[in-house]
Formats: sequence, structure tokens, C-alpha cells
Amino acid sequence: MLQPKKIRWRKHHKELARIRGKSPRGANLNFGQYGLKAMEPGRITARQIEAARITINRHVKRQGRVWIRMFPDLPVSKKPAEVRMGKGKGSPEFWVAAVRAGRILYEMDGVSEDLAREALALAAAKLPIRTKVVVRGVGR
Amino acid sequence: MSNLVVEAELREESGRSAARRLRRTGKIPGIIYGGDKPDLPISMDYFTISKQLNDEQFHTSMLEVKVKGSRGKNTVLLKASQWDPVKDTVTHLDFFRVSASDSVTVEVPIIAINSEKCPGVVAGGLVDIVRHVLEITCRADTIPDSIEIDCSEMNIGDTVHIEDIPLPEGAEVLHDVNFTVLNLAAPTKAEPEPEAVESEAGEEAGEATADEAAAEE
Repeated sequence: MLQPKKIRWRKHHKELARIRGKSPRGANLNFGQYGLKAMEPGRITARQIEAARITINRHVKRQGRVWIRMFPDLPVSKKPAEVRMGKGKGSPEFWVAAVRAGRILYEMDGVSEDLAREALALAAAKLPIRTKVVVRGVGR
Repeated sequence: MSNLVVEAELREESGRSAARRLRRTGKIPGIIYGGDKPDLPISMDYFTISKQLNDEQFHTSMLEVKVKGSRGKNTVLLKASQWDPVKDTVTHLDFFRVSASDSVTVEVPIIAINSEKCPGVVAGGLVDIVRHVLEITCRADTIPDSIEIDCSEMNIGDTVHIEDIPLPEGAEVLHDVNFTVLNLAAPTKAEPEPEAVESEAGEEAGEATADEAAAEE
């Protein structure tokens, strides 16, 4: 699963500012012909990113190319079950990508539009936020 | 020069609040600048301009903007467009005054043609466009709608660099490095078995539960 190779601090704040508002960057297709765009903000775990990627690759039978346009660089900590409050922050449990509305999450190329739409719809079902499929258009 | 015409009105208010009020009434703000004339803030009908923006020529041709309430002719190029990242609707347009003989730098889309007949694609390769747009410098009245790259004789591993592309007469691309524009990538190799990935995930989950159990103890 995706996670940073090197980190400066083990535990972070929630950094809610990173998911508020619309995405000023990363809102256009840069590599492929088709993409999956976030329609609402949220936090996507490394496990969900990987599950969606595997779904896309399985559906297109490893044809074409897939780009992942997000990276889980925010550690989320958690206290163990049945532990009283206090005694410091919990230990890091998993990594998430903070995603704003409008962000392109995945891009695809090298397959037909119908197949790409099917694959991206299946991938969208693995994600915790509403998404839509976008196609490269004129002037954008 | 093409016969594309944009109908617009003079805009009196400027700023974020005024622009939002304007958008709520079904119009979008824009501006005309450049040349020796002063800037001209305008507003346009949203539905009309949205349809025009779907035309490739609108992005690379000289346009005529007819501004109600303003005298004089505005021959322009679409310089920039701003879009809402979620709704994918246009929110603002910039037009730049030009004359036909002016030299302008514009972005032109790249299109790969004859890729179905290409021997590399038949063998399972994939046409990978590295640069989807190319910044070219040419006369304002001779901007091509797109630059076509013929892939009919490409094999797997072949690459098209900027210096290999035949540009229209009078057009040039300013570049220091002979960068790659398009290549024919080999078919994707089989990735590690998904079962292996799942089993790893399972192991991790197992470790996590073991850790939790240890913590509980």
C-alpha cells in the first residue's frame, strides 16, 4: 500500500483545512483520456486507494494505463480499544489522502470509453466519497 | 480570419461579489485587454458561450467580440479560461486583442492519427501522448486547430520528439531540449498476483489484531 518513504513527524493534526473548499489544483486531466473526479471532500485511506486501483486493473484485464493522482501522506492515529481517555495521543494506524472537491483521483488511457467508464464506476464503489467520471474535452 | 462572433455587454461592476451576482443571473464575466486600448470588462450569456467553448476553433482562432455599449471593433484571441473545479462550468474568460499580423504564442492540442493501423498498437502497444498541448509561436491568423501526429508506421518503443514534428508554415516551437511528445509504450506487464496482495493485506490485518490483543493484555 502507498505510504511515505520518509517522514519528519510520526503524528499529525487532523489538518481539516486540507479537505475544505474546492481543489485549486489537480482538477484537470493531465495524463489520460478519462478520469475519476471527487465531487465532495474527504479522506481516502491507502487501503481504499489500493482496492480501487486493483478493481480498475482487473476490469480492464491489465490493458491500457492507470495513473493515481492522490497520495496518502497524512497519518491517522488511533487509541486501542477499551483504553481510557488521556495518557497521550494514540499510535499511528493508517495513512490517508486528504482530498478536496474537484480533485482528479485516477486517470486512465488506452481503453475504450465504455470500458473506462465501467472500470471507474467499479472503482468509485470502493471510495468513501461521491465521484464522477470525466472525459478529456475541448480546451481543457 | 474565422467568422466566430461573441456577443457581450459592457460590465460596470467588478470584483468577487459583483461577479457572483452576475453568474447568478446566467451570465459570466470576462475581460478584453491588450493592444494600446484600455481594458474592457464585459459579460456574456452563459449558455451561448458554453456552446462556443465546445468548438475547437474557438480556442485557436481570431474572434470578434461585439460589445453592446462600446464603440469600435474588438478582434481578439481567447487567452485564458477559468473553470469551476467541481461543476466543470466556465466562470471567467480573458480575451487578448490582436491583429492578423501579430506573432502570438498559443497552446495547440496534439492529436495522434492512424493509431488503429499502427503495427505497434496491433502488437498490443499503447500510444502514450506525453504532451497533450504544444506551445507554438505563429501569426495570429494562421494558428492551426491542432497538430496531428501520424502513428501509422510506429512500432513498440518508437518515440516522437519535438524536432520530428512537421509544423505548419510560419509556426515554431521555442525549446531548449528536444523533448518527447509521444511514444508507443509496450504492453503492460502482468502485475503481482492480486491474491498475493490480498494475502499481504490479510497478514497485516492479522498483525494488527495481534497487536490489539497484546495491548488488551
